[in-house]
Amino acid sequence: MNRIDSRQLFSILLLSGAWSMICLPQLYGGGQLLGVAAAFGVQVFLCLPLFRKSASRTAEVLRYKWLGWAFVVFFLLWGGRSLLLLHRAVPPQLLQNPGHLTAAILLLLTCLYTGTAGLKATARCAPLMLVLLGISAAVLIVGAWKRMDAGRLTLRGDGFREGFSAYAALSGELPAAWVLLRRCKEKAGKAIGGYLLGKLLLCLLLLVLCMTAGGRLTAEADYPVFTLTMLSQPLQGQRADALYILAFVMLCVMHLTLLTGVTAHLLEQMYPKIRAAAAWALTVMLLLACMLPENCLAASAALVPVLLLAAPVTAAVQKLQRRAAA
Amino acid sequence: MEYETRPLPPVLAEQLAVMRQIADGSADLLVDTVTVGGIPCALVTCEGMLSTATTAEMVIEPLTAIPAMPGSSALFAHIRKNLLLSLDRPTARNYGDLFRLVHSGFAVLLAEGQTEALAFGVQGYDKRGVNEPSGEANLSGAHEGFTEAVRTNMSLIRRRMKTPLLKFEMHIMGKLSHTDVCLCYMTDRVPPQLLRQIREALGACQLDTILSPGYLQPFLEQKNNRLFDSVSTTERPDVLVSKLLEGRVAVLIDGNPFALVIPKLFIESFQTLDDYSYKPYYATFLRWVKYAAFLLTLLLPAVYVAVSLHHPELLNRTLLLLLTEAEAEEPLSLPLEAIGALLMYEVIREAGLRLPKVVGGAVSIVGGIIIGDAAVASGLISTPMLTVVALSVTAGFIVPDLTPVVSVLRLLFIVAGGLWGLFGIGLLGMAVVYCLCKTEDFGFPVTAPLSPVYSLRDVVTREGFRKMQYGGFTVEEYYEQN
Repeated sequence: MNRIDSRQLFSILLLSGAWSMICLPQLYGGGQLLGVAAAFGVQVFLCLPLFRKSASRTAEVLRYKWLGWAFVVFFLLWGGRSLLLLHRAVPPQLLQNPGHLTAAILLLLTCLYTGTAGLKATARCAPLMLVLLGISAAVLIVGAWKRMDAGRLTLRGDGFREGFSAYAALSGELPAAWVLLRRCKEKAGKAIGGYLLGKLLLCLLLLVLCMTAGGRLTAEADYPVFTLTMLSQPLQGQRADALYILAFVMLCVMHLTLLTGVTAHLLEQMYPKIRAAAAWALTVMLLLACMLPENCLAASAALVPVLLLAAPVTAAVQKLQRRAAA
Repeated sequence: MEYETRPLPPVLAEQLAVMRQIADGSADLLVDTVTVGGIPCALVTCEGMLSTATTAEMVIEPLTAIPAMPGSSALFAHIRKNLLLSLDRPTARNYGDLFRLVHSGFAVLLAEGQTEALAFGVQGYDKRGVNEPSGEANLSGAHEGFTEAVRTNMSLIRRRMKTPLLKFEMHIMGKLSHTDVCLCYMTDRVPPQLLRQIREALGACQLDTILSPGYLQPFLEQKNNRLFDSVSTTERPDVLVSKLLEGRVAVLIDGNPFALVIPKLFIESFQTLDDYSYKPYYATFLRWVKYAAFLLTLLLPAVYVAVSLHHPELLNRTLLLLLTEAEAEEPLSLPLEAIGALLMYEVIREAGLRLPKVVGGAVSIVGGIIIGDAAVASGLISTPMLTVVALSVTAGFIVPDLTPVVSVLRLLFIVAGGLWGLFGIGLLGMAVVYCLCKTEDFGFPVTAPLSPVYSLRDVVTREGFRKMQYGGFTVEEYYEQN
């Protein structure tokens, strides 16, 4: 695989995170703003090893099979969770034409192709897709502008715990950052910092828009961002859902491709003779989505801190062992 | 071939006998025996490949004026040292070289007792003159395009780049055709690994003949089953020079007026020489018109079909009523209508291209006016659909470089849009973007400088030359280490 530059790393992580954000449940309440901010602080703390200049060297410990497998298992679980989320969260009207089953099959076929294209193609694709995300965000803001009521925005209220857990769950990309870091030798810390900040700003933007523009409608919705896109229409005579559908599809493909890509990359590195690793990874994700209960898949988020710290701890232990041997 | 490495025997009669045997009575091989400086010699030429006036004046006259020589070695030494019969004077030591030189328009002198032959470059075959390129017209640039003669093309490039850093490297390719293939690059700017890999790729080509760039292109593209080209072509010497300055390698093929350029960037499909003649603001405006035209030509019919069939809520009331009324009487479904109209266009385009120019105009009239008008009048195709297809096709003329890709993808997008609406278009769009992103050759991604992101000063805008003159750019910046 070729190297990944910092802009590509930033774009991949942010786009993947953006898709998870679209599927966030219960994005409403002043207390959530504080919860999100607190979760952001925890994520930054957990990511500190990623900011070090020697992080890409530290990431080399992923060549150990036990650690590689731990990451692979997490990515498979997280992928399964994403597929389940796709099934649960997406409103029927968004996929009314193909229908949920056809849509899932088409999506998986596309991901099969994009996944086999490799991480290099994903990295190159990401900055291009980031433009689409920017345009969608701009249209969302313009559309929501007319409905916005600043009076609904308050920092008081419940939701600290929900905000914290919702934002903490938006962390599936962070272990992927360790894998990608091995190919991103320059300014990786800047890219990861940018991603964390970008994700926070995007989450706050959605939260503020849901509260001020969506009002009670988004407060009562299971997946408020989808409700917000239906409300946010910048033109009077025409609807802008087309753009949101395109953005949703493309973000979803990016998210699943990233998970498939990093899994395949780790498997190929551990077992160089393996063939069609991306296809296998996607198949296992699908099976996990079908077989495992939702709670079990969602609980995989708890593995994130463990995995984030596993690489630097292993590297430190290795260093100590080398010193002792010397 | 067996004869290619066969050395020339010292006896002239035997030399000529073997030559005649290999040529097998070919009508264009001319062998004139003559005594030069008292030594029996033969002047071998190929009819129609050399200038008879030049040969008579520059070769035959001086040769016949040579005084008596003690032997053939002395004769050849005298010719080499004292006579400048032509500027290009190679030597042939076997029949392979001898025939290659004769068939390339050289006059070859054989002498009794010599195991080598002297050749004089007096080529003078008929060739097309330098004309305006047919496919890359521009308003304010030069009106010279490449011709079929590789030497003429080399001179067209050299006239624009007089530095010794510009290098032409001649290769002979094609087991039977012995086609001259010229690698062209700037020695100070070309990435060495690119040059090495291109030489290796050309070395792997064992074709009998090289008749067009399409013969060599698959060898220069590391993976051939890709949708997007990673090798570009141009028939303009000025465009080629600008690409050489960016560290690229060009391949000129004798007998073809197109040069292959490696590596290609996707964004180049939207750049023309005229962009650099206009003021930056207008060039930038035109650049964005081209981007929009590309999206329009690729997606307009598909989006029209998808929105009309699956997402009518995206249309305003007036437009919805208009389209409903227009489509109500149509016998075919919208996707079929769109595919039919586009296929009809492709047929008319191909017919216009292959027929003689005189008849080509008639095809346009029949296709454009009669069939188009009749199709609407008979109710086979609705007016809005014809308008959409016409708009899409016209927009495609702005980016002719992408015509093959667009023609196929446009149909696929219509199918995806017709079956699954915008969701299908989104998925196919993603697959296409991935396909584009994974295209690379020799470590150079076609998506640069968009991704990996580099300077966008000639992509998002077109900066003025006052700024562009600094920070000399070469494609090496885009090289991604494997």
